[in-house]
Formats: sequence, C-alpha cells, structure tokens
Amino acid sequence: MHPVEADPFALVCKDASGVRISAPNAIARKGGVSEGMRLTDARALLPTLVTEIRDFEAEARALQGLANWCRRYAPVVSVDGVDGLWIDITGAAHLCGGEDALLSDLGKRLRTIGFASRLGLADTPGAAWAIARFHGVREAQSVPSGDVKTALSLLPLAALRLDPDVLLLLRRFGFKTIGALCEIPRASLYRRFPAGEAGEAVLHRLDQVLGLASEPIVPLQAAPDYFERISFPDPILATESFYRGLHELLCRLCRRMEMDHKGATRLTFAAYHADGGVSQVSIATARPSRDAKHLELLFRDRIETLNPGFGVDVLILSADAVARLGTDQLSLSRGAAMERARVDVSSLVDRLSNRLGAGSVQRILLHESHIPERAEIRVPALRGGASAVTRCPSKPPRPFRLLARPEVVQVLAEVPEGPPLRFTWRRVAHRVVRAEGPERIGPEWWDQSFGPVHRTRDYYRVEDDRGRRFWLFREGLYRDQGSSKEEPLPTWHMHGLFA
Amino acid sequence: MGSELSPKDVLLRDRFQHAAETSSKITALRGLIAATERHATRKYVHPEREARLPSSIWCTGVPDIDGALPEGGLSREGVHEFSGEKYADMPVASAYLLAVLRRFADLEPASPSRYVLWCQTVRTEREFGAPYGAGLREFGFDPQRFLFVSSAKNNDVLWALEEGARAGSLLAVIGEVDTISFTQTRRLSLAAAAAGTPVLLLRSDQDRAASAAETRWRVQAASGVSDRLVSTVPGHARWQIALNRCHGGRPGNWTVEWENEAHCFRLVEDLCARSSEMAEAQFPRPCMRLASG
Repeated sequence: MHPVEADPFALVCKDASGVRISAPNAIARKGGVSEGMRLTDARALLPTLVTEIRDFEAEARALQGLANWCRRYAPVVSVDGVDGLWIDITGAAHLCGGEDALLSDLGKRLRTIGFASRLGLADTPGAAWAIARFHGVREAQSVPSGDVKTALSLLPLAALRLDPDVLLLLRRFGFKTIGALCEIPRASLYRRFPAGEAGEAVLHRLDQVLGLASEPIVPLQAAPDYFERISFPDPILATESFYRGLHELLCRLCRRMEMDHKGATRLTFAAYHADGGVSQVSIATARPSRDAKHLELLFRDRIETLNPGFGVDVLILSADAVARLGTDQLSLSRGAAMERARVDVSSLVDRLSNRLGAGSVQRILLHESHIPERAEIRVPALRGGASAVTRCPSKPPRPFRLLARPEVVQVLAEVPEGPPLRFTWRRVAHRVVRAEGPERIGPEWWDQSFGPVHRTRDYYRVEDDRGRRFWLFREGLYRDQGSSKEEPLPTWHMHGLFA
Repeated sequence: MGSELSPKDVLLRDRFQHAAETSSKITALRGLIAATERHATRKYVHPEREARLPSSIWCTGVPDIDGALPEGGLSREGVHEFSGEKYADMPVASAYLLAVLRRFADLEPASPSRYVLWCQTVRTEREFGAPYGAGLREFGFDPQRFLFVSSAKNNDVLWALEEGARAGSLLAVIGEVDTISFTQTRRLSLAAAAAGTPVLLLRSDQDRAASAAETRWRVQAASGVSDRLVSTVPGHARWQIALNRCHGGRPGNWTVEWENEAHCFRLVEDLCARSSEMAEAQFPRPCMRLASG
C-alpha cells in the first residue's frame, strides 16, 4: 500500500486520448488535481504526484470482499455500483445495540481497516443512498424513521439516481432540490416532460426515496433460513475458541430447527475478521439433520482450515438449505432395516465427502443402456435419486472390473469374424485357450448424449493359458469394407476383467 | 454310633472333597488358559460388544482351509490381506476377496441391507479398472449397496478406510492402496476390532512389508476348466491360493474353484492328483514287458 494519506496520490487509467486521472486522493484534490484531468496537466500542477494504474477488477473484488465482511451486521448485503454497498439492517440493528451504535461501529471498523467511508441510514434504500453521498460533511448520518421527506428536501437532484440527461432537463425546468420536486403535484410534474419515460423515471425514483414504491435489495447470497451469531468483545485467535463457539451456535440452531421440524442439508460457519476479511467453511449432509453432535463432527475436520487472520470477532452459523425433518425419523423404529442402514451410512458418507470433496463418495446409478460403460454411471452418494432401472435383465456374464476406457489390443484371430487366438495387451502376449462369444452390442443411435455413436461391438469372454479371464471386444464389422463408405478396419479392445 | 463317621471315613471324605475341588480348580484353570490363549490370538473386544455379535468368525466352507485358520475361520474383527502372486494376478486376488466377502455376507444377518465401502486409489483404478456393478451382481451382491471412494492420495484412501471401519454400520470395508505401513495396518485392525467390521485389503504383489493383518493370502490364477456343456467356453473360475501368514493358524496352499451359481468354494484336490498322474504318464511306456528282458 502507498502512504496515500500524506502524499498526493492518484489512480490513472489509459484511454484513447492518453493517460487521465481517474481517482485522486484528498491531498491531490486540494492541490487542484481533479477527475478526468490529463496526467501531464496534473504533473504540472503537482510534480510530486504519485500515480498507479487503476485496476477495476481488483476494486470489484475488494468491494465484494467487503460486502461479505458486512454480512457480520446483517445477512442481506448487496453491492451497489463500483463504490457502494447496501446493508439491510431490518431486524438486525439490536445485535449491535441499536441503529446509531451500529452505524458508529461500522464507521469505526472501516476506518481501522483503512477505508474512507460515508454512511447513510434511512427508511428506504434510495434515501440512504442520497444521505450517504450528498448529506453535508458528517461521515455517518442517520435519518430518524418517518422523517425522510424533511431530511432530503435540501439535497440536490443528483441524489435521486437519475440519468444525466433527465437531470439536465430538470435543471432546465428550474428545479434544484428534491424538496422543490415534492411540492409540485405529480400530474403536473409528469406533464412537463416531453417523453413519458423520463417523467415516469423521475416519479419512480421519487417514490422509491419516499418509500411509496418498493425497492428490494437483491442480496449477494440468499438470506439463510436460520442463522445464529456470536460476537466477542475482543478478537479471538485460538482454534479452541472456534470449537466452543461452533458448539454453542450449533446447539442454538438445532434447537430452533427442532421447533420448526426442520433439518439442515447445508451449513456454513463463517468467521468475520476484525481486520476486514471473512473465512468460512461449509458442510453438506446426505439427509436433513439437526443432530448437533453429528454436525459438529462434520465441521471438526474442516475448522482447522479456517484462517483466523489477526483475530475474529464475530462467528455466524447459517443453515443455507433446510428441509422438513419430522421427529419420527430420529427415533429408531423397528423393522425398517433398510432405512436404518441408510441412515447409519449417511453419517459416514457425510464425513467422507466433507473431508475428501462432495463428489468423492460415489454410488452406482443404473441407466437404460446396452453399452456396458453407459449401463451404470457413478453419481455422488450425497445426491439423492434412485436408479431409473430397477429390474436388471439377465445378460451374459459381465466382468466385475471394468477399465476406465477400453484399451487397444493387438489380436490374431483364426478367422476375421471369430474369437481371438492370441492377443497382446499392455505389451504382454496372451494365448487364448477358451473363448465365449460373440455377444453383439449394437450402437445406440437414438441416444447421443454420451458422445458420438459407437460402432457395433462383438464381445468375447476369453481365458488365456494361465487361467486369467478377460473381456475383449471387436469394434466394427468386416462386411462394411466392401461398401461405398470408407469404413475403417475393425479394432480390438480390452474392456474388463473376469474372476 | 452308627450315624457317626469313623475317623477313617472322615479322612476319606476330606480326601474326596479335596480331589473334587482340585479337579474343578484344574478345569477352571484349563478354561482360563484356553480363554487367554484365544484372546492372545484375537484382538481385544469389548465384552458387551462380543455378546452382541452373532459370531466373530466366518468360514470359507472348505474344511481343509478352515482347518488351517484359527478357530476354524476368518475373524471379522481384523484386517485380511489379499495380493496377486504376480502383477497380473491382481484382478484374480480381488475376485477371491469378493468370494470370501460373499461367504461372510451369507452368514451375516441383515447383510442385504448393509453397505460395503470400496476405497481405491486412482492408480489402482487406472491399472485394473473400477468395480463394475453387473459383475458384482454375479457374486450375489446388490451393486446399489456399494459405496465407492476413489482418491489420488493414498493417505486419503487410508483415512476413508479407517473411518469406514470405525463407523460400525458397514458390512465390510475393501481397500485398494498403493502402500501401507505397519502402523497403518495396526490402526485399521484396531478400528476393525472395535466395530466388528472386517477390513479386506488388496495389496500390490511387490509389497511384502510387515503388517498387523490376521491373514495374508496370495492368489494366482489356475488354468481353468471348461464349461460342462461346451468345451471351448470357460467354466468356473479356478484359483491357486496360498495362505502365507496367519495369526494362530498354519500356512498352506490350495487350489479352489468358485461356483458362481451356488456362491461356494470347492477344493480342487482330485484334479491335482490326476494332473500329477498325467505328468508321470507323459513319457511313453511299453504296455507289456517281456519276461526275459
């Protein structure tokens, strides 16, 4: 970081006409440098000006990070433009001891982290936006509830978030403040605009500011169904404290979910750093759960990956996905052994997948297909869903190990369409003693979701002179050779291994 | 007086009593020694758990092999290792593993509803493929009751194996690992003993490091038999198995056949004898000997 406070400093960006000042700091502004000025002109004014190329992507990333950090105050947070953030503190202000306390706490923390900020707090998002950007000199300003109209009456029209050409038009009409607009009857205000859209836009923004029209904030992350929060007077660093905090939060969360007959399938545990960062871990469960002990066990492996930074002062546990979970499922009902085995194993699956990755524990899902590698696919065990195929038609013997992809083998056959006599797989020659086949599997031309259509395959089960058994197939047909199409020669592949 | 015993009788009675006490003491001590010896060959099991387990032993169904195993079978509270005799025998070793597991599942109550965890490293998956459901069905398993873990890291696989063994809800845990140290096999066998879940390990044929496994099998494909009806078609699978290491048992060599329909082993003894006869009979011999030479 640059010593931006003491020296004149500016961010610059390049455009077609050269390098221009994009964002000067307060010292540089005092020296006469302003936005949009050429760098050469600025250098002439302030020879000591230090500059840096502006990186918009990094700024957006930083703003995003700050927005995440602001979730410590309330779950609904959103990014506004390139330099603003919304926080919907409805129902969350009491956690910090009231609205004013929250505002001063936020301002203090942002200053500590190193951000200059302007904060506005009002009944509507529009009013808060206007207050933060256009209200006097104070860094943080809150408008008492129901007092928006008087508070905004003296603010300039630019505080209404209108397009520049609409603003120009309003200025030409002689309006200077929001208060002046409010005094005119709506119908006559609308009639003044030559184009209907401009009039509508002005009225809409005015309604939004005054709370007559709703302006929902789209949160960065959907607000969780359940969340619990602990804040510490002093930042904590020890992992032991995380465990204790997690335990407390889980107990509270599970109690609340139990009252509503709900269970969580996804949980996030977030640690908010005192220096403006967030680190979080998420876990997922195969079945909805509100078993605090089980959930704690799932978090236990992951919590060491939490980076405490220079100290954590807020811990938040949120249930991001919940599902109905009746009380009856928790009791051990007799008889349903299948169901019980599934419940038993799901806690193991949870533990394995949370440590090794969500897709690492897999199960087999049967698929309606004759092609061996398509007939069954592996799906994450966490994901529900039963096989579409329940009945398995009896087929000729199948290998119990299938190679990930068929491997090319060199084959010597007695007759072109007959079983192999010798073959070489992985540079080892095998002499075939017994063979069974062919089992012909035709291409599935109607289903191309797996890729291009295969050629016809002839499968053979063969045994070599040492007693090892293999599953080989010949891809393609010899009779295609004479046809007009240039069909490539059939090739042999190794596909599986038998007992 | 007639009712009172003479001193001689009293002495005799005391002696009898003493002898009876001694013999009962000896019986008790013998029982204790037997129990201690049994415990020495087996891992510690919590008494409460032991009472709950239906049986901690499962047999292969072949008297010769079971006779070589301690207590007449494989212990469910331990690690059993399988490896191929040669590199290319790895699939055969895993087939024998599945056959042994099949025998276990047949004896185990509620086994159709319980899951089997199969962990393997990506390397072993690349070498000899991944388990295929339709083929598992031929061993009598429901492929839907298998959970698969595959990881590029050997340590992750070992961790998953241990977690699976500890969970106690699984029917069995199967592991295909690149390498495993003695300590890790010891950990696995403790986990298996604690939960009563057998751990079946597939090890590489080159890997002869020490281990805490109860048994270690080396399996080799034996030249098979033809189908009963068509002579050119492969019939039952035939394996040459060697029990190399066995805690409290004695090593041995057998050739067995796996009957795919009945899911049982059959010892191929008579055929071995016949093949040795045939080997002797290879050189041409005159069918009649002249009396005078």
